[in-house]
Amino acid sequence: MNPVASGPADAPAVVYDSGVLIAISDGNPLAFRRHQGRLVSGYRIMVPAVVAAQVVRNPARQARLMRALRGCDIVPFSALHHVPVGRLLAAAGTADVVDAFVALLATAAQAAIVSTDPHDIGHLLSCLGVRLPVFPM
Amino acid sequence: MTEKKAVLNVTVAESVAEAVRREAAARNVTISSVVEAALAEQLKWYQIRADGLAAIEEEYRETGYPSAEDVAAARADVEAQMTELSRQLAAEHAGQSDGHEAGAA
Repeated sequence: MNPVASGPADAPAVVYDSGVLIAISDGNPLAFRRHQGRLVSGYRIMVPAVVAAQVVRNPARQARLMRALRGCDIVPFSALHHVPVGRLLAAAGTADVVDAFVALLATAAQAAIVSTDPHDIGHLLSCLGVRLPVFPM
Repeated sequence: MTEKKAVLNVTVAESVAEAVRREAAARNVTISSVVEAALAEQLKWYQIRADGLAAIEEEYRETGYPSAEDVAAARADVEAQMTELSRQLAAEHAGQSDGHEAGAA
């Protein structure tokens, strides 16, 4: 069994990387409207807790970001994850733990990824031997 | 302390019932535990989605609502992404099926 949770089988899923959350936090209206569109359309939106932690700094001053996160399934990085993440980093010859977790989570959930860094994520997905869409913000 | 269990009588498609039986057998757990976990996961997502939509409404109430055109355009972008995800997953599964068939040949 894959150690990364996958969620409901019938809901299309998407994983956010930090770039999307930064855009929302910075007040990018398109990023927020697309987030709304995903919820309305029934996407299951997943955000690794470590991705959220990269962006959350002062929740009281980041109301838009914190509201967006309320519509996301925050996925913890647990004791199940360090080995598959480490193996993927070794295979990819990279060191970004957060990106590797994003790629593993998307693979387990058969999810699209919304990322401002499609090249690095694409490399990790190819190391996993999967083809999943990586969309810009 | 373990929560007391309730009994639910539900009707599901035969294919779903068969998938549940297979999953329970593969993991050596009860059918009830498979159904309970799946229901709990689905209900959790319903709650997150409802809370997320309420949060968006709060944001717009405070900062102003976007135009209907802008909302529709963003929704169209997302629908196009969903279509692309479905297409790629179908291609991926077809490729895996081809691989299995080729391996069996």
